[in-house]
Amino acid sequence: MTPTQRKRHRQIWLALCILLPLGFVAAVLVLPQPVAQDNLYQPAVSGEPESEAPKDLKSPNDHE
Amino acid sequence: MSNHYVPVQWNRQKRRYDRYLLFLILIYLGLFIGLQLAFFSEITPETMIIRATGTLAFLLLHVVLSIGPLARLNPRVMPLLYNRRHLGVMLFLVAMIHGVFNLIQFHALGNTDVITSLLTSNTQYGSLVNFPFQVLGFLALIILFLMAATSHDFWLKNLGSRVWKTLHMLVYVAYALLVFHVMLGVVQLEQSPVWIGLTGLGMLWITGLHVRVGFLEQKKEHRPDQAEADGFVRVCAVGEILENRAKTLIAGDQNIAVFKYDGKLSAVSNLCRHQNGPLGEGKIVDGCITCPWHGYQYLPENGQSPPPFTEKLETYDVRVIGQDVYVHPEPHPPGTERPAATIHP
Repeated sequence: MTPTQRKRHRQIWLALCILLPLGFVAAVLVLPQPVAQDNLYQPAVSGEPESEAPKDLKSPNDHE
Repeated sequence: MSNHYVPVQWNRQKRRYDRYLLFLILIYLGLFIGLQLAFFSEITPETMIIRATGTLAFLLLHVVLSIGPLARLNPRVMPLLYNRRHLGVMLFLVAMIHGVFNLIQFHALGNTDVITSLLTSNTQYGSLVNFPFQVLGFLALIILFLMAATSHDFWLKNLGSRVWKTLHMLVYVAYALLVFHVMLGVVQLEQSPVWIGLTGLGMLWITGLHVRVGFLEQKKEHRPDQAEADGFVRVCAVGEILENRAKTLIAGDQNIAVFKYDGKLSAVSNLCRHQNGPLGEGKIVDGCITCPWHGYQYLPENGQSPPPFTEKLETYDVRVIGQDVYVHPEPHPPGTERPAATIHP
């Protein structure tokens, strides 16, 4: 390669050496976090009848 | 060389290289598909092909980009450099299979044509997490196609080495596009720490290797401080040049290689006419300076390729004073015969 081409190679790779890891880290940072889900009710213990939901827990759609 | 063009200049070594390459590719695909079947048996054959060819193409790109700097560090890698174009074309073919299956799987079932669908189905360019990463892969595939299509010496000769080299340096753009294509694709579809980690390691390897070799090369460049009154510059002591080898220097804008052979010294341009390969890192074989990249040959006294070939290099005046070698950095027109300097015992 000509000295000019070598210099251009060095500059390109130096730029990529900085820009690619920055983009990589940015892509890792935006990884969607898994949504934590909690059970609304305690899971039924095997062998026992399922407990009913407490009566004071109502859906917002329930109208009296 | 450029005496005539044939589609591919096959020889025994290239055939053997291509057979090994094909064998390794088939081994990779077999292993990858086997592991996919073992751990993700629910995926469709199309998805399996997309994953296998995508990972293979990205791996091959890393290999292609490693060969150049590794050959600078270790001459034993040079045979791979000699055959790098075959690897590049193979990389494009694998990437194209990946792209075609993607288009079929994700864009062929709508009302619009596949390319329009690819370019318009997701336009969230402002969002990193929803970025249309497939477009990045498509752009990289176009670059790889241009490189594969122009990889033959016919294009090198007709475009000129400067344009050809600039076109092929677009591989760096393709690499950057593909790193983001893979990263954002992994983020959106896979989220696997294994793939993220491997992509990161590959990126550090490639960028680190190129930067390291770039600076080593810069350190190795010999630039003489000052010229003598008659314009000659000192190169080195005669004993520093091995028989049939060269010492290189950069004087002004001239990149010169001074070769020692049969008790004589001759200087020619250090840039091979083929792809600007470093002639000074080659050696004299059968009386001809032989480029370490692709084997182009030149006679040391006049810089001409032996008949029937027509390539010519610039030549320079050389002299020996005592045990020191001097060269005049004013080039003679390509192919000009200059008397070799005799080494005094």
